[in-house]
Amino acid sequence: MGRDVKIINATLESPMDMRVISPRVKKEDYELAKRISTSPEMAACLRKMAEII
Amino acid sequence: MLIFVNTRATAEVIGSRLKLMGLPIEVHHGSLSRDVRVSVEEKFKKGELKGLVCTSSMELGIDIGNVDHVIQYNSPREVQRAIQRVGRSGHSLDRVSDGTMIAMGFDDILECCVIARMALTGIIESFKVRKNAKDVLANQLCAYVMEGEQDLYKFYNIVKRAYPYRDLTFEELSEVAVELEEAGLIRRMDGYVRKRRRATSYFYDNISMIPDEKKYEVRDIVSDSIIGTLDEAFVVNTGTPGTTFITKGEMWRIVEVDVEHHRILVEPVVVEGEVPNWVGEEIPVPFEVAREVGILRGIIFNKTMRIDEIAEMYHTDRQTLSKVFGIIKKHKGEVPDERTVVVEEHRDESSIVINACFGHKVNETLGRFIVALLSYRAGSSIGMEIDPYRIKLKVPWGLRAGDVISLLKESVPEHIEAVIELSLKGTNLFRWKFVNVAKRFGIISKDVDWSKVNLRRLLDVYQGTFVYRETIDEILYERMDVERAKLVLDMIRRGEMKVVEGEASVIGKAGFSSARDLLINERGEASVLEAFKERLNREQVILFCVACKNYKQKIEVSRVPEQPRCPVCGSMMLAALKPWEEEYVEYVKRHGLKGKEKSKVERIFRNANIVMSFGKRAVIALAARGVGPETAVRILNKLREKEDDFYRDILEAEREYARTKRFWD
Repeated sequence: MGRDVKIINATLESPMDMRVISPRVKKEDYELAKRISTSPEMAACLRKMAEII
Repeated sequence: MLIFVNTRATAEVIGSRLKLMGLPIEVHHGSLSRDVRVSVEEKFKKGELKGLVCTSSMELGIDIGNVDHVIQYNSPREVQRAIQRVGRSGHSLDRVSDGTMIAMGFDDILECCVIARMALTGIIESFKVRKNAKDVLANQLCAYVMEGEQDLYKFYNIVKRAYPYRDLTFEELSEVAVELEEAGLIRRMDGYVRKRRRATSYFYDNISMIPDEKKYEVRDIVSDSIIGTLDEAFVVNTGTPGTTFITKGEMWRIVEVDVEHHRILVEPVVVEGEVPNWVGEEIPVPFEVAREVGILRGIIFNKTMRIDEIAEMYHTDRQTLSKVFGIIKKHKGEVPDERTVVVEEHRDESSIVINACFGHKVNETLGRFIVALLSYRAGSSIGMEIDPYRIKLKVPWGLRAGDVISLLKESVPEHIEAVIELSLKGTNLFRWKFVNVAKRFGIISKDVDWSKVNLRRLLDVYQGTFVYRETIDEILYERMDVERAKLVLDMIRRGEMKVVEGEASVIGKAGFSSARDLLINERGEASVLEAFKERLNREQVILFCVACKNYKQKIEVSRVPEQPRCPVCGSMMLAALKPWEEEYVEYVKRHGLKGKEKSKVERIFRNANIVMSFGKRAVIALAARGVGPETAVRILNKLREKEDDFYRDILEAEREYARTKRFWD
């Protein structure tokens, strides 16, 4: 529209880190799964979450 | 610590399990009341909680204090969402944001890897802004004239300064003005516009373009209890009888949708291993992400990189990758990647799977296009399910993979839009969208009484108008990607994209199953029957003696003796009536009845005869919903030896009644 504008690059690189994991089902996960009524795969994920917490 | 998940249902499941494990965590999502959410936020800030399991409710705005780490359970689906979520940790300039994605399953692992790589190399999917939305324009025009008469051309020049309206023509704006004038909201004179009285309430009612979320009550016909609510959007988009879905950790199948009462009737699903058709409020996977998943499949299949190199490039480890390596390496024939579409016949499910790494919107577009053309040719309708990597067609007998392949190769890309438009007409999705758009133009008032609106007539009247056009545009913008679907067909024509047939494969079968993780129990048929028995035995019946007419008692089914007798006269001629049939008892005592009343009395006598012949079993059958003397006799005459068989017959009769009820009332 003919207005005087200047485009600046405002990208701020904030440091970030990401990991992708898919926990392997261990023996203990079968017991956990039974205790909290869920699948062993899900139990492995929950165990991993608890470890990180 | 924040644990992000993609749906409210997942948040509930994960939250409840972590609590069972004794962890001090709480759940935070949009379905919880404001009070609950605020108190959870406070507790987290004070350090009383170690973690919050949350949905996108926690992405923006809320000051949550220090977060050391973010976990994303399952793929975040979009790169920008991953950055947004992980960015909630280490929320200051000098601290590193740190996130872990926990992936489950084939698609999920590959998708997470791709998103991590894109996010950390600064590649974000393209973002499309909707152009020239007419409903917003209509609302803004009303706002503009609120203070008095205004020049329409002046308004046009103001609007054009905004990016989404940069290409708006004055004619398009004039059309909106004409529509608003017809709806009685404004008056036009010589290029000037003035508001009418209704404009004020219209403006305030429609400031938000987000439709009011109405809820549907979900009622289980087996236990006759309310199991929760579902969003209207789900019901109109996918809620047809037969659809299976998971709520509250269990799987259900829709028996009947009652639009007037905002209610859906469901029954528990007992078939083991069934996959729900409906997954939940799914975030679409963008084209860019799905294509790179295709590239990664190709890298693994063609062994262009070593596993350690891949692990490093995609921010993961050997162990995680090994879960997908096995599947891809065992794949026979060509692997479906970013340049190869593989069509498979899955005879065991009478379906054809088109492996296509193009994301939700492109696959929905291509899927609808293919279905529209094939249904037309086959003369019968074809069901469709899509995910970001597959289009699954439920095909009638006789349709082959070759038919789909030649259709993909020979279709004219330019036809996509017209075919899709035609196929959208008459769908619930279209009707629902149309109603929302019509409200935003002041054609229908916001709190309309549906029993007084003839929607079909309204649609006929507005056929081809620009309100109609706006509805189509909205659906295309929100759910499809016509441009890229055209691009795909173009690439196929030019030979830059291969379309081949392949054997039914594990890759083709993967997907469509992520929602199964939400299942807490896979129930057996026995548990369903047990719940049904319990309910029936809790029902109240009225025992009425038709012999002496002096005995009438309300009693719970479980307390009825094996062969009930009248305590007054000793007769076995007792009718077992439903509580609301009590008034008919008076008819029996009268004389000289005619018509309806007479037939009611005859039914009561027939009822008593059945109870005399079959005893308590008759009482049980007659206590079921929609089971009258005729149905009861049919069930009882089977003389089932096993109790379960008997209850199963009654349950089937109730289902039948629920399905056909609207024809009886």
